[in-house]
Amino acid sequence: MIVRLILWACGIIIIPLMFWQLNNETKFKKNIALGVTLPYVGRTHPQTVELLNRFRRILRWICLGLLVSVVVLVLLPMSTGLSLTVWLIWIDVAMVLPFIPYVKYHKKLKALKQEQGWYPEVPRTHVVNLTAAAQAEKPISPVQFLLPLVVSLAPLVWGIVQQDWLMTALFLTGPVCVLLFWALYQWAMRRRAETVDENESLTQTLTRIRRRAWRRSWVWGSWFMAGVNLAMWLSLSHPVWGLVVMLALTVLFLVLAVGLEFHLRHQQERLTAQSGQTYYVDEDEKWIWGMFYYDPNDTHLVVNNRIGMNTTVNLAKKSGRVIMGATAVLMLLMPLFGVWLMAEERAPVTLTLTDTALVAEHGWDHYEIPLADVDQVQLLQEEPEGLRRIAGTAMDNVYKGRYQSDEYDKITVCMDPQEGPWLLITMDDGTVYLVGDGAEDMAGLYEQLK
Amino acid sequence: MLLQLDFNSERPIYQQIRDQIVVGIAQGVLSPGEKLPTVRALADEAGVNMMTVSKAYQLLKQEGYITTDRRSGTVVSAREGAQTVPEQTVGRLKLAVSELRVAGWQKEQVLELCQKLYEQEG
Repeated sequence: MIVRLILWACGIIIIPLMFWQLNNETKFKKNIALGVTLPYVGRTHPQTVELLNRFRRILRWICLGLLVSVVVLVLLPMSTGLSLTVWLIWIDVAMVLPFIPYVKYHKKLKALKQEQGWYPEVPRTHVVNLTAAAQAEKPISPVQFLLPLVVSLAPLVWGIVQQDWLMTALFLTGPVCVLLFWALYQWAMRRRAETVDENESLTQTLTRIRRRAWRRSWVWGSWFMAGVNLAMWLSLSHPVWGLVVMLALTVLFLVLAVGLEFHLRHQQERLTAQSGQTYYVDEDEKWIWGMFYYDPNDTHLVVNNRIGMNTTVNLAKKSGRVIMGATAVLMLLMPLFGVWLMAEERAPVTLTLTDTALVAEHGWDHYEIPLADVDQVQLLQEEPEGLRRIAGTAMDNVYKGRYQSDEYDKITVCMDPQEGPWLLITMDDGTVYLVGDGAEDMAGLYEQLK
Repeated sequence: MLLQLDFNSERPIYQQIRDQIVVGIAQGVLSPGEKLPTVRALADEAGVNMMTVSKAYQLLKQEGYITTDRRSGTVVSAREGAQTVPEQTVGRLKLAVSELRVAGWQKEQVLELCQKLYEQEG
């Protein structure tokens, strides 16, 4: 039940995030609302206001419905695997459902724009800001990424010194992510100016605040990954504190990232409140449903979203379609992970004694303990004190992978935790195994091994 | 200064960039000594190939509208007094005058139009 509650607590965050983001799309920023560019006069038109209000109402109902569905799904009795499958399906639904009215009202607003002839006087062309392009941009100092990189390397060095290769591999994720963020910051950074109208100082301000938000998000992301690496390190000696620090870092990063996005949106709204009175930029034709970019004339793969600080891909490019398609497929296939977990849940742990080895199996995992190298065998009626997972699976019916206890730093586990007793096997080289399949003749097996 | 590129036009993009920069200089939006973006920065801003921008800049350089050096990059040339105009310009003007003549325009009407356009661009 606790695992389910944690899952749903993580999932439920999507609802306010989706609500805030889509509700915010109804406020005009850079002359755009619901992905449609309108002149100043069109913004306060009664039909525009009515359409935006109707969308807001429907969005509220959808988010409320999703919230109620969470309460119902939490209360339904389910196994961990089924619960995860339902949760992942719910995540998919929660991320797609609010966009259905968005697209509907985007189309309605576009139809109104056509009906009213709200198009700029200048024929539809691609606007290029020569002045903004001529202004040299001060690149971010590499030190901003080097510092979190150094911090994230500390646990990795410890892992190498300890010759603990599993933990070394785990601690490698931190520095790799920092380097990836550094690369992504530079690769995905689009220098195109935020031109809304002919006001050069407005363009400069909008471009500057967007680039600043972009820089901050990647630097904060790097510090977050460095912090997570340290928290993982801490969890080896203080598991509860490690978890608390990790949770605190996640909440902090989430709050900062969402705050940054909304702060930028608020500034874009405020700065362009009076725009669109004479000349203004209208690039609606390049945006399918106001959210998917398609411009065969643009050589860029990654382009800035018109609102906020995010980027998207150009669907006119083959690589853009591949990235978008792969993301969609990945999202749709997410529930299959839950199905795999359900199969894992149903698979029993089996112990087989052969002439040369004791073999513990669960699902695809196979642990072979050579009898010739066994030093000592103990029959445990209780789990070792402070048994906790380091890397592997911990479900109601199976513990497997790398574990740790108060007494042992490293234990390779493959056991059914519901049914004891279990065998604690120490090998000649100091390796410790904890196995048990819940069978009644465990004592007999213990005698044979002894 | 904003450039308006029309990708559906028969006129090549490099030519459109060149034309609009010339108009910008004529209108005083781009003043002598003013720095233009690098080829890369303008290509990035316009979402076009660097070759396209490079071609436009080469044309402008050949015609004497811009100069390029290592220290200051690409800048608008200082042009004092009447300059010799490229043959292409004379050719285009010749064609335009011929078209107006075929359309039945009198000399005074053509001159009046020229004067109006000259004042507009100034």
